[in-house]
Amino acid sequence: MTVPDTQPARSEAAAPAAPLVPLIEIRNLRVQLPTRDGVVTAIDGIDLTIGRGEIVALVGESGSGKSMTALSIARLLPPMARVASGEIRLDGIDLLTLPDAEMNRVRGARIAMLFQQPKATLDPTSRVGDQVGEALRFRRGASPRLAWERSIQLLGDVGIPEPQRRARAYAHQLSGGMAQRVMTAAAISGGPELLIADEPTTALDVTVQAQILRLLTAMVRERGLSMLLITHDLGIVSTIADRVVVMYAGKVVEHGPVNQILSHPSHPYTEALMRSSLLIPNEHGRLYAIPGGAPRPGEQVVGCRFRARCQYADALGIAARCESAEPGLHVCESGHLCRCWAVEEGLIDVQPTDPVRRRVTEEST
Amino acid sequence: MTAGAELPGPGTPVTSGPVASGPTAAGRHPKAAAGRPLVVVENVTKHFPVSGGAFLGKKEVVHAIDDVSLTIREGEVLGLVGETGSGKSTLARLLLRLIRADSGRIAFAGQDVLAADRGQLKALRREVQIIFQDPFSALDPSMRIGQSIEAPLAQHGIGDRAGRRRMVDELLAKVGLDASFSFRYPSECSGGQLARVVIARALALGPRFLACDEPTSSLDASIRAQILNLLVDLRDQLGLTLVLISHDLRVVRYISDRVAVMYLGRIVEVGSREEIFEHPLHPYTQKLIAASLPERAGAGHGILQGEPPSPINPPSGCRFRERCPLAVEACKELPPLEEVRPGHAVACIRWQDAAAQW
Repeated sequence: MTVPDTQPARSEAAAPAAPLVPLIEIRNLRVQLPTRDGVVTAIDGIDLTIGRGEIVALVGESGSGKSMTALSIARLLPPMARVASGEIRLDGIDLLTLPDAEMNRVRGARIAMLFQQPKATLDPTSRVGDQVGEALRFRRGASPRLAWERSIQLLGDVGIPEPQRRARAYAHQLSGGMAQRVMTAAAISGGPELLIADEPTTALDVTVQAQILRLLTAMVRERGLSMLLITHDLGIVSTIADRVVVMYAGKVVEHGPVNQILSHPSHPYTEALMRSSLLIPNEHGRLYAIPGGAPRPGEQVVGCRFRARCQYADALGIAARCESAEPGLHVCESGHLCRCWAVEEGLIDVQPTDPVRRRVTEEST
Repeated sequence: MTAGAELPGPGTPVTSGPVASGPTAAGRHPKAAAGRPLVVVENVTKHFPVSGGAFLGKKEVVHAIDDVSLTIREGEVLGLVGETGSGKSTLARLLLRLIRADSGRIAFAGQDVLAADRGQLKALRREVQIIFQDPFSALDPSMRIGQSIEAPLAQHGIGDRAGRRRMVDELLAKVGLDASFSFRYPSECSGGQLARVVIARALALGPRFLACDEPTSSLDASIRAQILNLLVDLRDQLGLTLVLISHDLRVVRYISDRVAVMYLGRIVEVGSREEIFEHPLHPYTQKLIAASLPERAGAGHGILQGEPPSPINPPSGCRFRERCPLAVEACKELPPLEEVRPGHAVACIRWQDAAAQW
């Protein structure tokens, strides 16, 4: 297969309107980490469903818990981390209670992962072709010879020129973009149903980023895989995801179809994140930046976690409420959830033309 | 900590496509457009030998910088753009003489950087500072923030201890941190706070020139804008000259007065911000803009295929020709960097065809 050099591979029809058959269902997941300053709750009760054939983007700043969520699904959390509660179901099977040996069979065969640093993830001492074929040999029981032949085919599929020769190369002989292509081939070799991609293009040059994103989307769509894409780059999200889940300080704050979230975000944090990532200056030449920073891990926050950085709480005169009780995930429209008192009480509309939104914008300029 | 946070103009739709000719950091600063040349780089070349490359007697070299000439004027912000291996970071290190150029001439405020003796070099480094990409690894984890910022002052024998402490507090205030940060360790600060600390340390000696090597690429989007606003404020307040190295064209478009595009060790295009973003003339620049600012790309601009060739054996002639959709036989000759529009130079024989398709 070659990746065509045309418009993004995502088709407008790709966003599923009807609920899909769920592949992954996460319910009330809480993950805690012991630190010097006591136990830190990295993930604080999240729910997340990934449908079959669906691309879900998990967006948030560093420390929001997005990578921990991904590692929880593959059960690759650091040893000191502890799942305090919740369940993660793959096709109905609870992964968290699966014996280690069975979980090993799930990894590679049903769930595969792609990481940020492809060159660090590849084994420097073994040939690329052997690594691509690993999942076939150890998960699907293929003979070494068959695995090698299939590896060459997969390397060709992911756009590696001269796959016969390249299969004999070692990681250090590859550029970053080539290494991420090899990792992609290795990830799909076992025929997984879910591909988890944790910042797969962050370490790559912009020109190569576009190539890898196109490749990933094509691979996932062609093979009918589900993908969980973890990123802090909203630009990536708009081109390939079906649904977006926004995390802030260990919780999901907004969740919905990509077109809806990117065209009119409801949560003040999502709105602020989008505005700050565009880097468009106002007439005074200033960039919009979200004031302050996210709560430090382990910091006790009463009420809404975004309160300290939110301009709406004061503008609407509901600061007391935001500071005393944490809002729940409120259903704005079908399939669109938002964790914000102002939205829940109908004090601000999702539209940017909403009078309150406009007033807040004008007052802070 | 106070952070420069402002919202864009009223009614600015969140998802609107940015307009390159809109207001920018450069636009609000009524600085002299033609400051005196502060840094002059002439025909500078830097090759690194490849270790173990002497196999069978054939020594291989990385062509990191090849015959680069560039002038940076006082008070301007120059954006330096290119992919991995294009030599942009090497160029910044050459300016500070952290590494020595093989040949060519580099002058800072009229002084020859390559010929500077120890004393002159020490004086030079008060005026020229650099900020590296990763603030976590740029600070000693066992030193308190205050000690890190004080170190260059002590190194250069400035003030007594009490005086230096006061200066540290002033520097922290300048970058929007309160004095209590002095007593913290790097592990007790967020990425955005460390980025501010690194800037404070670079400003300690009162430099005129600051090279920023990917200053925001390890930061979250929400923090990136805070740091860029800070850099612009400092430029305005202190009259700094900045070189900003980035592969993020959104950052470069916001902050730069002029932009230089590098490819495999050579400058392929240089011009004002408006010229580069509105009328890119090199096919490579066009592909870069198309990749990182998709809303700016003209029709028919597909993504760039392939990756930069190895700088160990760069292609002869135009180094971009193997990936260039417009390449012809004549591209096997090295194209000179020539000014083809006022203040806009390009190294491409087919720039007119490239301009026509943009």
